[in-house]
Amino acid sequence: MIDFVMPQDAGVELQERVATAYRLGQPLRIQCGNSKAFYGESVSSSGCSGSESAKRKPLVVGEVLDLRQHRGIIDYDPQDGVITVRAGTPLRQVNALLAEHGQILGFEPPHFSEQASVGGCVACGLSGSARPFLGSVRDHMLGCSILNGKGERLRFGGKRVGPAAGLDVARLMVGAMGSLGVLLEISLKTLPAPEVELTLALPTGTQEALDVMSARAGKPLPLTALAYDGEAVLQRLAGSAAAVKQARRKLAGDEISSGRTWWEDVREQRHYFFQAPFLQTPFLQTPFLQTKEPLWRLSLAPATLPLGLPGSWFYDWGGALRWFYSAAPYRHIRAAVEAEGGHACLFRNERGIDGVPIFHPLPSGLGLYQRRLKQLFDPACILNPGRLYRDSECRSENGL
Amino acid sequence: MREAIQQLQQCLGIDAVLQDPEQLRAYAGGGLTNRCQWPVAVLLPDSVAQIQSILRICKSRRLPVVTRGAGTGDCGGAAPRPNGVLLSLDRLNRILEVDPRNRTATVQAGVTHQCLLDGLAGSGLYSGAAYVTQDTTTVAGSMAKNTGAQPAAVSGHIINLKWMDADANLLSLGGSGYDAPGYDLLPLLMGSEGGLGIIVEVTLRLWPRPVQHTPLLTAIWNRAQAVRIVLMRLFKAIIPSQLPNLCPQYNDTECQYLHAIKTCFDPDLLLNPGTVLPLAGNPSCQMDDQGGVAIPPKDP
Repeated sequence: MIDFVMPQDAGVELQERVATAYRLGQPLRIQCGNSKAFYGESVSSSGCSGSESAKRKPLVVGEVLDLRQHRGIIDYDPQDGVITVRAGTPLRQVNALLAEHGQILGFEPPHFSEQASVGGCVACGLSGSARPFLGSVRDHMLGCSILNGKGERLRFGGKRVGPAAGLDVARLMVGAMGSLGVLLEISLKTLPAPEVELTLALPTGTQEALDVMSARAGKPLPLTALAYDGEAVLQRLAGSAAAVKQARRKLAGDEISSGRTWWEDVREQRHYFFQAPFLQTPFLQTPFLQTKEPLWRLSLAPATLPLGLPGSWFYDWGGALRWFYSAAPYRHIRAAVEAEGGHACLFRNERGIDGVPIFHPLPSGLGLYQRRLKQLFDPACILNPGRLYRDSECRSENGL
Repeated sequence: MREAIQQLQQCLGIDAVLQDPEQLRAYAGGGLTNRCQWPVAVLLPDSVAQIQSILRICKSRRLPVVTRGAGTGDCGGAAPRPNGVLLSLDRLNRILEVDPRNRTATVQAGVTHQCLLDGLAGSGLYSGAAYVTQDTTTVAGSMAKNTGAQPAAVSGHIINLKWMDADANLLSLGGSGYDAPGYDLLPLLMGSEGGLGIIVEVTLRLWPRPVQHTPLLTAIWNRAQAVRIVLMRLFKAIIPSQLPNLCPQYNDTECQYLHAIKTCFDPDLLLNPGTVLPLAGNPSCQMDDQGGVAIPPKDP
């Protein structure tokens, strides 16, 4: 039984704190469950001034703006397929409520901790294995209300399924790491939970795995996940019992009994792939010195051939998302990924390697619009400065 | 004005600059027939480079540019300005690449949905969009209008988008994978009605073509019931083709932000002026009589 936290509306206090911070120019570190604190850059002073060198280790700054007190489910209509919650609501609470009504969040957000909140899930914009089939966080986002960098409360989008007319500002907040606004309320689309779920494992080599995944994804099958863990292609069928049964007959592979746990482990990075790789230097193998190699998150076209970089690989999203443990120099990794039109994010950096930009550098021309949007929503640059891009997001245009 | 037209004729060729009233008549309005206005000229570029030149010429002379796909929209997105030019994407009508392994198709902005469907015949794939007007509706037009895509949101169908900003820079959003670094500008451009930039090329995700596609007529008592029917069918492999766009209500500050976003992308308000914000419920968000954007006095 999940102990539900009591709903609480801290909107007014949060608004006052942001307004005060705006007047004082005090940077804020937005925090909810703190389950994804490892992801992204740290909130830093160099995010606020363009003069400092990006190479210098940034000074971690900012007062914590805790959103855990702003929580609770505001509205949930299973018939409409929309849930509206305050940002600090724990994700597990939302999942439990949806499960009671036979529904799910289609984008399968990773939690990474019991405390994970809906706000953090939207701000980070991470989606699970179902993403290529059921859509991403962005696709399920319908509307939100935010506090901008001046403490003004704004609402964008709606609480209805179906695209909203006009500029879609709500979806701009997905993956913005809180740097455009403090998320207060979020409306998400919900989907019916599938009647039946079934996972098939088909042992193959890497090259064949890419072919298999590509072929499967091109067929009208009730698939909701395709992954390759280095040994076998895992295929998840989900839907009505009849459809799954019919598809099962067409597909090669053995059914695995622990399918649900397997996908959950992948989502939460508890799968053995995410546990195993350690630095391969012999004298560092003493237990207390063991550190993992950096974990990269690569986004590529699904059928991209293996990149030939040294390290260990896990293919999710039918090949479009590749987890990669490697100590290879980050420039090599980024160059190889860029040559294929993709991008690479340093997802976990437990060794604390310095000087590596976490997110892939922006293509030319787009930086200008990113900076203009940041300045528009957060003119004093107090909301998570530097969390998305360490040095450039707050520079004024004439300072460049 | 005459000099500008001459310059455009030099750049595009005389046959790609329509000025004859009989020819202009066809472009006087879109699906919104009560807002018919005649542009100074209709431009028919057939390459990205030509669009770039058009934007440069128009920017230097501060001529408003309204971009038009097929003109089937009924929100006035393709309604020309009497003091500006209408840029038609009709001639950008080539399917550039179909990649069955990655399930993507790269098309120019003026390709119609039907043309894309025909181009994909035999591949077992389709673009996921279905329209009443798919014979005429263009890919980029329906994206700028944010309509028609199911089961995912329109932005969920796009892998990569090449667009031109008001300064005539050719920019690319997305990559080869399903997400991209930085702020996600894709959803902003979807639904911008051409007001933030001109979409010139799109790489779309393709989906397995359904085995069967059957129209279904259902008696529905209210909206909630309609949505429920749609939702409950999703996992039973009956995918609805379209849900209508709904208009959120915005207050003054929110409207100012929407306007400010427009000016972030198009400071001179030359691209589809007045058509970006079809908003209900707030007079300060609505278009003025001349079709210009009613800019609120206060800068957010």
